[in-house]
Amino acid sequence: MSKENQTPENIFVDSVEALTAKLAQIRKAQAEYSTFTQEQVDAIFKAAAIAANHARIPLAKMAVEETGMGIVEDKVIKNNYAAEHIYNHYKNVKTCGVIEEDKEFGIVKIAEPIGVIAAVIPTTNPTSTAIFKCLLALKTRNGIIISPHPRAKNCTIEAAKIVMAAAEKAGAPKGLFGWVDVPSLELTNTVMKEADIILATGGPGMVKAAYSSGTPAIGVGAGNASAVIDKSADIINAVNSIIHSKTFDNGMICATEQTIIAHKDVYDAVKAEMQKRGCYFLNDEEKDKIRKTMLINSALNAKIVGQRPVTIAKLAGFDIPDDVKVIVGEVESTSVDEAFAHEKLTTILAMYKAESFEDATDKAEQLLVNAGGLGHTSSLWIDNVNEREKLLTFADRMKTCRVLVNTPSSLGGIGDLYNFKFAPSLTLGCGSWGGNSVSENVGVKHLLNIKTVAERRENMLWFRTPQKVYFKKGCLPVALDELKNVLGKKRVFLVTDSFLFKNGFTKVITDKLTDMGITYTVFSDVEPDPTLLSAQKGAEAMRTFEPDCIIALGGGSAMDAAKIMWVLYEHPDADFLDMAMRFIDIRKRVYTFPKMGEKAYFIAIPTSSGTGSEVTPFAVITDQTTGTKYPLADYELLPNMAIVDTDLMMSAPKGLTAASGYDAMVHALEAYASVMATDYTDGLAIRAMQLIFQNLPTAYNDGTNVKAREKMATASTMAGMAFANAFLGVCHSMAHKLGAYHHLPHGVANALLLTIVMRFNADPKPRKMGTFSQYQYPHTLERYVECAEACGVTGKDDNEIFEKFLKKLEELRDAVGIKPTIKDYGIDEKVFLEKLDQMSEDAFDDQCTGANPRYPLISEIKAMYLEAYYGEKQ
Amino acid sequence: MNENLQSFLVPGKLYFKQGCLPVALAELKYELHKNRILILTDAALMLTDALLPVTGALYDLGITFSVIPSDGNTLSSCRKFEPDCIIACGSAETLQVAAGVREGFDPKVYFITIPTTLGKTQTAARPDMVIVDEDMVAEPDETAISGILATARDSLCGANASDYTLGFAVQAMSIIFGGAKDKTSLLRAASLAENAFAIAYAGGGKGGVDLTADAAEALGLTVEELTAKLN
Repeated sequence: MSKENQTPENIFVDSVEALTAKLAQIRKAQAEYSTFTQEQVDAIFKAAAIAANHARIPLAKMAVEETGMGIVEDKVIKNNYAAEHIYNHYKNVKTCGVIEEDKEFGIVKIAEPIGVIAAVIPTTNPTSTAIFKCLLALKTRNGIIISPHPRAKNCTIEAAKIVMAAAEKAGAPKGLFGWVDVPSLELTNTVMKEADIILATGGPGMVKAAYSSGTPAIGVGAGNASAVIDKSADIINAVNSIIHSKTFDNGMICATEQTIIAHKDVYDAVKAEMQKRGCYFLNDEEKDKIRKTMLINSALNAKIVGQRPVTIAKLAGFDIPDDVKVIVGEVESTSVDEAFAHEKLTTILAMYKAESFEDATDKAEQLLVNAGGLGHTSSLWIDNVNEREKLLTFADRMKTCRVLVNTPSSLGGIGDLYNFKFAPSLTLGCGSWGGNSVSENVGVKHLLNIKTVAERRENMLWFRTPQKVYFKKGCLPVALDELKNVLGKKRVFLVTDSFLFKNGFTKVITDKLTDMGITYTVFSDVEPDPTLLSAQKGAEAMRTFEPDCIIALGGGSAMDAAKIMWVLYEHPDADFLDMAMRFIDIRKRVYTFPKMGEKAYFIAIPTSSGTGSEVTPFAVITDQTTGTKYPLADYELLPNMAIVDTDLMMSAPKGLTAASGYDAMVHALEAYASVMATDYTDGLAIRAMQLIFQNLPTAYNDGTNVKAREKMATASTMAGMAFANAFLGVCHSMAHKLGAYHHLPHGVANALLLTIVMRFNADPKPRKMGTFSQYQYPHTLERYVECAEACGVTGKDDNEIFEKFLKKLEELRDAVGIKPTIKDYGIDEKVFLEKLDQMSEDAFDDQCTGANPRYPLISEIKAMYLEAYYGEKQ
Repeated sequence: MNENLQSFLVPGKLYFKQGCLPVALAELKYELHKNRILILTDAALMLTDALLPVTGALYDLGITFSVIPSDGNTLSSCRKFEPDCIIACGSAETLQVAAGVREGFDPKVYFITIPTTLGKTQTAARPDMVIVDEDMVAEPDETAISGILATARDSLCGANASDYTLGFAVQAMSIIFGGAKDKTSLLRAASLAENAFAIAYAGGGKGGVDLTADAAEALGLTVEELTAKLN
């Protein structure tokens, strides 16, 4: 055909120029096709499948005549299968536009074509593979350029023409398909380079070329399937299936059996059945002749591929009856030197005898490793009901992507004929074992680009507190009643600090326990910064006493120490470093905190207002050997019950009242500013702030005022509930380290930093914003103003209200005797400056930093510390 | 009411946010290890797609479940199914029935409520988990706002009404007084008000507590102003 007469559709591809022109045409058609709807595509897909099916016989005849291999009637099945089973499997699958939608999670998946597929078609299954790939391309809105095998180019191209004509008649753009008319190495390589993806079906050499081309490739591998026949197998079913499978198209499907490995107990029966059904067992001389014919220079002799036994024998130089179906060579060696161990792609089987099931499996493995076929297919004949363990062992050991049980291996491996959840395909991936990027039967999903559209969603949040929170002046003995009458507890372990114990604070509890006939013991060896050592001692005492209930009475130290003892008591093997590991999201943390409460019910009773530890999931412990503080945070640590009895707060000295009261205020403010604040925590925090402003000065100045003490106790617990759920922020991070490095009380440390941090957070142009979906933009100034207004502060605009609020907080600090600067507490300047860099970095690393609305730089933390030291910006 | 004791009793886990349902339900498999879920729902909801997010999630998690209408012979059906967890997904009536069923059951099974209406997101019996996902909740009608305010107002007088419940009630009122009318905001307010109410009345009884003045003060209003707004 002269080039001048060529229309775009009729370009004869025999050169790189022609190929380039053809590809341009395909791309143009594909670009148009990519806009088609699922409905249009499915109509085209169906029409093409019907046309291919109608042509199954002519195409089968053409294939056998042109290639000189195979059997017409079997190729008819292949063509029919390629059209019908592929159509049936994918007819309802969404491949165009939105293919998946999850409204809850806000995810939409959109499928788009890849572009132009380079389809390399083998000589063993030319028309069926062409039909298969063309149909897949149609279903996925891709174009296709076919590179046929030189020995099968006419029938391959004819198949593609038929499918394309039907597609165009049904509405597909003209010129969606193309092919190389005169195959050559150069053209094949160009096709591979220029396409957007390669579907490479053929020998290992070609597959390797595909992967090396620089274009994404989906390849296949050589097969070398062993059919292992276990002694429990149904011999008649096995033998006849194997023969049926092996003779299908003269053994040209890559998944077909190459070898039988029969257990010695059934070997003779297998052999007898095989002979009965038409298998010819070679003698030694014949075996040698076949060996020499099978492999030429260690490669498979093309002349024997897809041939009947009578033809193969003649080639090898001897005669056998015409009606022999399969030639069988009984051999022993599985090494690469044994020709019979290799893939034969024809009607020859090797046969081995196995001493045991393990031996059979060993041989099957060795064949794959030594003679090729890794990743492809293996086959097992076994009683799959009573020998499941063997079945699973075999499947576990075989490095093949298809493990077929009790099915013919060629017809079974291509899918959907002997198992209906197994995708039908004529391109069988072999995984990394076979040097492939796909380990399954190739289908539409490998030919699509999937886009994911993700809409903003906010993290699920929660509100969690102890199951029971009891409060009111004098409620302690009333609440403790439940230990006997509701909870049925018998042995109480009471943790407190030595001061409280010596001064009789535990008496109300121990008296009540005695009244109820409950046994108890007291552990009072708790330091102000509870150490791991004392917690371990406490846990040891618990292990001896075996309590079913733990009561923690005291400030934060006693309650935290008790929580740690509780953990060590219930889970002595738990790793501390793992428990204390930092997390970004408490629900996504790597470490799973062990379940608590399996041995003991935990009751927390605060004696200060306060740390809020009675309602929080936190505990801080110090490793006394290194001085490092470990913060543990998990809702498993929430006490089961909290008892907030005002009676226990009445005698708190002024210093404690001031520091713990201010700590509670900071809890409320940080919970409100936190990126994780919610309505529940906001409501509690605001109310706590109001109560603290109204009652702290009174509680400080007149500790006997019951109402003030009660409101402070309430405020402290409410603030605790707020930050137990919303967490804290950088003020606490910095206060933790300030306290650790310079031994300032926690509440005081917070007071020294609060208003500086608040200004830092309120900046409408922060250097870095906190990262949390519900925190959309910096608005902490507005949040503080809400707090201010709820606490009675007014002003002409947000900035004025904010400044007045800061002043109000500083006045509260002054009113309870807390000094304004770190320097005022006698911390030496030189010492402070020396430790400053490390302290700043440690504060940055504190778990509380994550919830701060403004993500701090270490340098910014340092600047805040300096301002808190000197009392003015440096 | 015990002069010396008040309590604050909330559901073990309260989960909320649009789209949180599948995340919360995943706990049933990975944390709580429940295998047989009985879902009680409104008979009317069974005729719609409304339950699909719940049943779909359970199906994906591979957990066996069954759905029954709350107006049928529920206790008997429960006994036959032998659930280890009951989910009440529906209107106030369904949540109430489910709470009753759970009481009548021994041993006590894990109890989850998923409200689908804006009124009464809580029940008197404390669920172990409450999932408030606005995708599951119907659009509010004209009575929603007054209903929420009434609940918030009533919560001020329960035997266990306290500063704790006041915090929630005042937050609910703030949202409504701020003029919000969209479903998201109303659901937030409703959940807060219902929580306040349920906690304030847990253990039953009214008696001698009235926090109206405190609420007014917290909101910066006089008692008269607040009462007018609430009624």
